[in-house]
Amino acid sequence: MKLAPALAVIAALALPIVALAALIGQQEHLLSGATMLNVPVSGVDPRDPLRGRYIVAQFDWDWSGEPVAPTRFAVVSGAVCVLADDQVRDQARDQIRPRVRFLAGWKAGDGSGDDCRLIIKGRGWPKESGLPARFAPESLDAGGGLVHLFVSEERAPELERLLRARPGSLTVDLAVRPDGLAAIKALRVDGQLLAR
Amino acid sequence: MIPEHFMRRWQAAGLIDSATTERIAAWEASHRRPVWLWAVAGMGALAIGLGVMAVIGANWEDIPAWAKLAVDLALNVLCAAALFVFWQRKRAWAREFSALLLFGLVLSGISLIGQVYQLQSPLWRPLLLWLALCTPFLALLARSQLVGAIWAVAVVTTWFTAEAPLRHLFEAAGVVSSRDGHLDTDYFLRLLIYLPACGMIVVAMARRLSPHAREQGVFLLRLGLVGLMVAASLSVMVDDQLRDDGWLRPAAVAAGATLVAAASLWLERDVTARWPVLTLIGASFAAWLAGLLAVGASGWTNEAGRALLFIVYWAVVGGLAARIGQRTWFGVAFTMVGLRLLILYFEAIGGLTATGFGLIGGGVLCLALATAGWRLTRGVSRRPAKAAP
Repeated sequence: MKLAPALAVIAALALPIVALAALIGQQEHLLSGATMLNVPVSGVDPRDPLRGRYIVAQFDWDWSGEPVAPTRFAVVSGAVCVLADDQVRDQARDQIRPRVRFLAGWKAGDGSGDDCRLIIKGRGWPKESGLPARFAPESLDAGGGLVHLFVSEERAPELERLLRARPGSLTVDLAVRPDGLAAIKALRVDGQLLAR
Repeated sequence: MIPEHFMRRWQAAGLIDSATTERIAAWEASHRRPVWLWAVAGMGALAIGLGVMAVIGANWEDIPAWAKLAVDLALNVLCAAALFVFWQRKRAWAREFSALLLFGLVLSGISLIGQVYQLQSPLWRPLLLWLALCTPFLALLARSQLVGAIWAVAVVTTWFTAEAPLRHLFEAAGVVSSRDGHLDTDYFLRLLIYLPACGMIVVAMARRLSPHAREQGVFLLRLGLVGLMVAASLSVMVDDQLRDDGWLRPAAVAAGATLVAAASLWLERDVTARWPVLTLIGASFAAWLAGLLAVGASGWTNEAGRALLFIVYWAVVGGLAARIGQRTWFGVAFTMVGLRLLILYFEAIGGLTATGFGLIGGGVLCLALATAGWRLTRGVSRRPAKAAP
């Protein structure tokens, strides 16, 4: 057997395996050096055709400064600054929501301000009639500021009902890196760990 | 059972004598496979597979994430090792099967990582990653038409799921324009269908350079040409209401892709195999462009013009098929022309469709077309066994 073709074949076969392992390593690295932030999610439209595989939700932020778009339906890239005093209980809703301010055009390396304890890079949508302002971390945005939360097929309908009946009971642990990238570390119901 | 039936027919027609019939029957008997036993064994294997999947599925939530990922990676490694061994030992079918299995396993690995780490992204991104990771080993090791077809389906699926970023890309490059934030989808969608067909022709011709993968290349070329015919037919058939004067840039991009596809034919040394494909590519581009230029036109002249263009295009395809002895494609072309004529007939008589005379006329037209098709198809000489494409 000639060496060069064999090496080429070995390299081609190793490529997907190394890449899959690297993807896992990258995610583990992202989670290991990150700061945890618990964010409530609210339901959107439960009539998703793939219901049972995942549920569709959006992060429920306590806005100190909302995204402002130049035109209707426009998306604004940037980040949210999680304010240092974000762990204050919202008495009206009886829940803790991270208090955030939108920073339009923020990029990794930009300053954030002394009152920010965390920066999450992503995209913001301004408030529209009937819809609150939305923000989704860049790596989690499934379109329109929504996120897909993968849950078991058995628990999906129950969680969807929970989202409608008791908003804020379902929360997500976000692992936020210093460069602003975020990943979902875990899901919680009433503070109890649901799934990683 | 089936060979016996055909042997009796051929013997009755005087094509084979009784001695040949006996020899074929003896050979078939000695090479007969226990189909029923295979079917039972296959059902057993399927039941075991489904059972294992059901057990894993029922306990999916209880299996730790690291265990799922470790098993998935291990399966990928095992399959890659098996593929390497089969390639070394020149075991063709085992090699093709394991290549296909690894192709699927890599996709399942990407999906599993997405599920475990709750990753979000548009569908085209994981699909593109999948193709980027798998195309090198498929190009080096897989040579069958089946694997080629599945790879082609994966590429086309990825292309169409990437419709949104492609739209932005084309818009940013000024190929298609948007008005009031809305894209002129009539031009964009025509390009979206036309370009992958040209790309498939280039890939097919590159594949034909490898003597081991020549058959796969021939098959991919056919897929590319079918894609061109679909793109040209849709461009002629779809009657858009949007009007825009920016047809030049999409037409230029399509012309460039057509030229690249046509130039790739020069990778083939056989000159006789080149001209029918070149003619088909040229005719397809002409029909596609004519459909593009007719966007926004209205009235009965537009409808009649589109119908005539469709018929002329498929007549050219039929003529080419007849020249190179492709009876099947001649039949397909004739059927397309016949169907369009029938649709024209029903469009022309309108409300009369519901009347007895209207239906009788449609039936007579069908019978006349079938008779003409039968006579014409019989007149097409069969191509030589080894003729390409």
